[in-house]
Amino acid sequence: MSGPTYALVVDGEQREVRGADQSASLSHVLRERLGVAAVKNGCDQGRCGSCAVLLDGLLVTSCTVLAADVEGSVVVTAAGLAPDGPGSVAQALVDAGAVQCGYCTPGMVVAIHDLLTRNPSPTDAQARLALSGNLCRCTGYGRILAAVRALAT
Amino acid sequence: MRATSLTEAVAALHERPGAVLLAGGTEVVPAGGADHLVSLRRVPGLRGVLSADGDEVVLGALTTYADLALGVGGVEVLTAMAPTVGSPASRNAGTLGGALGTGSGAGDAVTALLALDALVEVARRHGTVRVPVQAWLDRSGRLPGDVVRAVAVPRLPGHYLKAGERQAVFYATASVALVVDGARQQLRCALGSVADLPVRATVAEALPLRWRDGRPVATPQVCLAFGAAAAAGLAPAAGLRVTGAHRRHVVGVLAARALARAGA
Repeated sequence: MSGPTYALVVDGEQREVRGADQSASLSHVLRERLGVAAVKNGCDQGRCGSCAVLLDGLLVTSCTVLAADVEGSVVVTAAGLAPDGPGSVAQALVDAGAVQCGYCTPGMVVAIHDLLTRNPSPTDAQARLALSGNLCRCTGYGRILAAVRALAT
Repeated sequence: MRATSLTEAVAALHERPGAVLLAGGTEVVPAGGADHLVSLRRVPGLRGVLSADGDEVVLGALTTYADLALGVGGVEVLTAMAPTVGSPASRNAGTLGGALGTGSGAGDAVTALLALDALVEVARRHGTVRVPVQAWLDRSGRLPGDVVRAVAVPRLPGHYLKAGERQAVFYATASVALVVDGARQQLRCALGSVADLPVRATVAEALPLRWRDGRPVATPQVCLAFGAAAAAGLAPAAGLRVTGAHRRHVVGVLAARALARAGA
């Protein structure tokens, strides 16, 4: 059932969602309706973390959020998190050799950003816990954790 | 439909039989299929400690696992349970009310609430009633159109042990929630992932124990006996890669360990 138009702020930009199904998840709306490629859909169940975004500052899996329910919210994806330059989580992952297929990477960027915002000097154990909702099938996580260590203060 | 009050949410459920409540969405959104959703996201005053009167804490239905993991409410078994559920992202979204709505035998929150003998505060058209969590879970105390407002729990010491195939984002192979009522010299022990609903280990709870300074005297022999009593008589269903016998074994180990941690 097609719903009314509503707005979301996505990566700093006001975006309008028109004619989306009322039952659509935020990940579906972001990716399929708004063309935001920095949200991947690995499981659609909230278990793999590849769709992770910050929703009004809170780390969530966008596939478990009803898009129409968060009308007006501020959504930040990996694309909105300083993708280039010093201090960039994405750059640190690239530099550490932590990107193979890249499918987990956007979700990892958001989760790592969330971790370092709350805890700028995480232990390895704390980093593992923080990333426990982000699955990577390629790297074995070693390089990803190395990237976190490189970013930690 | 986005409710702005509990009254609105209750009315909406009555207007549309088959409508489903939406809180954090971790169960409802992936499942899809609901014709009509009633969102509680904008209902104020349902998150965190709603009241703390003596030894009773009332936690709002929209209290998240992340809140509980931070110690909101100060109820030990809930603080111990919360970090074992899902992932950081799902803990930001999942709620106590949602856990009660799902009411799964593998549910960590409902297992802990059962050990606490929690009272579920339910909003109905004519007012709010308190339903014992057992009656809520087995549906004997639950009516169509009910909306969970909060849970009332005792602030007692407790432990939550959960074993599974992974460290995160996993359903328990088995779990044990143990609550210690030192004043009454009683243990309350609930088991998760052993049946369609969490169960109380009543035989284990009835074991005669010595107590010292409000804690059970937990010698190794007593702990083993407690574990054996908790596991006895269980016939858990097999899972994907776990036999019922293994689940029963894990219950025995976790219950013994929980008592050891609770002990004097």
